[in-house]
Amino acid sequence: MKSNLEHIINENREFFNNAEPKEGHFERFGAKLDNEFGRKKKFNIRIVWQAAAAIAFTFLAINQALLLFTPKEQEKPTLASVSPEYGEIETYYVSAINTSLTNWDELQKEGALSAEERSLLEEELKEFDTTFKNLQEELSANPNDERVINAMIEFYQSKLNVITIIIENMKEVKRIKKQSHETEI
Amino acid sequence: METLYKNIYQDIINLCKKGDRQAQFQLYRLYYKPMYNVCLRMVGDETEAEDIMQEAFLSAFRNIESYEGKVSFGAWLKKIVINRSLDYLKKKKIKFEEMNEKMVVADEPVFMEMEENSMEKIQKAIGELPEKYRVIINLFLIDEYSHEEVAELLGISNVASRTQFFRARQKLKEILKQKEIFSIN
Repeated sequence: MKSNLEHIINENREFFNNAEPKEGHFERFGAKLDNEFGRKKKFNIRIVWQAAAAIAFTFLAINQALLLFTPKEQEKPTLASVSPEYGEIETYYVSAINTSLTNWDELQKEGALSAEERSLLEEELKEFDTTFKNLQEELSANPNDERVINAMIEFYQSKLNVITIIIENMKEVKRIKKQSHETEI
Repeated sequence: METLYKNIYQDIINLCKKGDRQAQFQLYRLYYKPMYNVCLRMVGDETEAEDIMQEAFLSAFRNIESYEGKVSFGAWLKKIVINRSLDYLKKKKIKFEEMNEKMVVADEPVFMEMEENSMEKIQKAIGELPEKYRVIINLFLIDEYSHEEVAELLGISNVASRTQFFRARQKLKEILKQKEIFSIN
């Protein structure tokens, strides 16, 4: 039976849609996509403005973050910058020393020390500060040197010891003064 | 703007409108085959067909905002593929200009016997047609465009579209007869 050409094609239309592009066409298209929309993005003033705003915001955010989180340039490294464990040790000594110094101040106000003694002790504290600065410089130059780290810990120990001894002496002086005053009465 | 045509892949199309590369690639995977076949039928060269088809996809993504959903996405894309193919053929100096319409061409349907491998033989015969006839046969018989649409695509009058189709069909009949592939009316 003869059929109309149009009818035959109509009935078998899928036959004309069976060809496949050569292998690798997905990769070739992917490359074209990247080339068109990836690196060579079309110039669009709105996108440029958005990008500029985003960049400006990022800069501000980074700047702010640096201000907040970066130690000040003048600040030298301490034990905390070596490791959190050393940081803990340091925190202990610093707070112990600070407490002692507060005690010291209170005792001083009560007139436990003469002006001469006070200036001598202040010299001593200045000495400690100088030593500490030197140690910080050492630590900055040799961040993981065990000897410097140990020296720093020893520094805190001796500073605390010295302050503690002085305070004990001041308390003793105070006690004696009080006792003699009472005796006199 | 409300989409008039509800596409199965509307979500992917929407992502493409945002320039999502993955979505673009996904649309390529979904539509490359029918689009490649349209293109191959038009230009008759595998390498050119792949290139034109892929360029058509890129053009579609560039202009995806202009897809208003009045027709299916596939139909919209296919028009781009066809126009790109026609551009290629025009560069090759294939002209679809008005022919001498004084000679009346009769609308004579082609009847044939369906045999094994008939489809391969029809496809081969279409491939052997002069390019302008091949294009019109493809657009009208296989891609099912109306004479009005074919006329618009080729930039010729409606009458010329019909006349050229009838001539193309006669030519196809001659090729089939010459090769004694079919017993043709």
